[in-house]
Amino acid sequence: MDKLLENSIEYDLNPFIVFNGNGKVIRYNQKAEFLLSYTSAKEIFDIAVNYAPINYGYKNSYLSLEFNRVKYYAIMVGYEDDEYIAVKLYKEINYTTFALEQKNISKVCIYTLLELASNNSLDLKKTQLIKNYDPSIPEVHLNVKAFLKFLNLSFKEFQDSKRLTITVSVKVAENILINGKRYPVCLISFYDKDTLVKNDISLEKQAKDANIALFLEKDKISFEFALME
Amino acid sequence: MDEFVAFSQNSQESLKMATLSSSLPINAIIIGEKAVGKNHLARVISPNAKVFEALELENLILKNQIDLNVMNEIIINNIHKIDSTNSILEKVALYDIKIVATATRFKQIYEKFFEVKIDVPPLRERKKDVEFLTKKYMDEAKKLFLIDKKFENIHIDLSNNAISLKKSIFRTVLFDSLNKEDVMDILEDFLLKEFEKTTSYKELLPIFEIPLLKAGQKAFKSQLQIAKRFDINRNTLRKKLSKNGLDG
Repeated sequence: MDKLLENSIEYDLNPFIVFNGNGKVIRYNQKAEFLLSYTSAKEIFDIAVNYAPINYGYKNSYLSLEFNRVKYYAIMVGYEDDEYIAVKLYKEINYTTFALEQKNISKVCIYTLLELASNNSLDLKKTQLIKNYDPSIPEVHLNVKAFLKFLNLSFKEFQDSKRLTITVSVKVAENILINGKRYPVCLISFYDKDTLVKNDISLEKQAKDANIALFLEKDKISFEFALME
Repeated sequence: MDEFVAFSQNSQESLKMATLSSSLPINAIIIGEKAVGKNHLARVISPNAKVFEALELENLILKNQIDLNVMNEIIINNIHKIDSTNSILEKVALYDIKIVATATRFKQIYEKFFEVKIDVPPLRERKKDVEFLTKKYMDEAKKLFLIDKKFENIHIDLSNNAISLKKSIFRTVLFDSLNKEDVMDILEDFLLKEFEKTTSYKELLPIFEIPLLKAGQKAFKSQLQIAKRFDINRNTLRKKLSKNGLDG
C-alpha cells in the first residue's frame, strides 16, 4: 500500500515536492525534477510558505503560475509538523496550441533539416557542433519551410559560438494534443555556455508559424514539437 | 562543365547541401561567381524544372505571358539581375512552386523566400576540381585539334573560373598546333580587320614587334644576348623595348 501511494506521487503528471523547514528539497517526483531544472527550489518554497494553511493541514489555492512556459492553475500546500512542508502544482492543459495547415506538411527527416540549417547559418569551420542525437526518431510530418526558417534563425543566434551542443530527444511521458490525437514530443536544444541568446521576436513568430513551442534561456534555445509520423 | 564538379572538400559541401535540398519542398538560392557550376547545382536540386533567365521571367510575368499554374518547380538564373525580386517571387510563391535560383551575390531579401542558401566557392579555392577540369579540357582540346602530346607547365587562367580555365587550355593546345603558315594566315585575317581602325604602318608594326621582343626576352633573358641573337644594335633594341613598354 505504501508503495502504491509512493508511486502514485512519483508518476503523477503534476510536480510534487517536500521541503524541510529551511527550504531544502527532501523529496520530489519526476515532474518536479523537470520543474526544478529550470526554476529555483527557493522560488517554489517561498510560494509554498505563502500559500500554506494557517494551521497544520492541507490547503488548495487557485492561482496562476508559469515556469518556463508551463502554466499552473492551482497549488496544494500541506504540513503535519514544523519539520516538513509539501507542495503540489497543478498543470494547466492547453488544447489549442497547434493547428496544422495540411497543404504545407511534408514527411521529412529532422536531421536533414538540422544539417541544412546549420550549414546555412553557421560557419562550420569556426563552430564545432557536438551532436547528441537520438537515432530512433523517425521521419515526421512538418511544415518544412516554416520549420527550416525557424532552425535558420535559431542557429544564427549561435553564429559566434565556438562549440555548439545540439541535443535531439523524445520527451518521456509527454504528449502534444493535435486535433484530439496525442503525439509524442520531440525536444531539440542548442546550447553554448559562452553565447548570450537574444530574446528575438522574429524567432518567436517563426516558432509559432512552425507549430513549435519555444523556450529561451540565456545560453540555450530549446523547442518542442509533435512527432507526427 | 556538364555536371557539377565536386572533388574538393568545399564543393562537396555545396553538392551535399543541394542533394539534401532535392528531396524537400523548399526553395533554395545558390550563390557564387560566374562559371562556378551554379546551374549544374540547380539541376541537382530540381532535375526536371523549367529554366528561366531572371530577366526573361520578370518580363513574362509582367506581361502575363506565363502560366505558372502548370509548373511545380522552376530554376531562375541570375536572380540578382532583376530589381523587382520581391514582387516576382511573391507572385511565383502564390502558386506553391519550388524555386531554385542562382545569383552572383546575396541580397537580404532572399532570406524571405529561400529556406536554403548554398554557397559555391570559386575555382581558385577548389584545387582538386581545377585539376580535374584541366585534364578534362585538355583531353577535349587534344581531341578537337587532333594532337597527341603531353603538355607541361600550362598557364591556367582562373580569373573567370571555368570560362577562363577552358579558354586558357584551348589556347595552349591550339597555339602549339600552329605552324608558320597558320600564324601568317591568322595575322593576315587579323590585319584585314585592323585596317578598319588604322592603316598606318607605324601603328601596325607593334603587332609584329611585340611578340618578337617578348619571345626574345623569354628565350635569351639579357638585352645583350637578345641584341646578339637578333643581330641588331643594342641601342636599337633598347629603343624598341622602350617604345613598346617592354623595358620595365
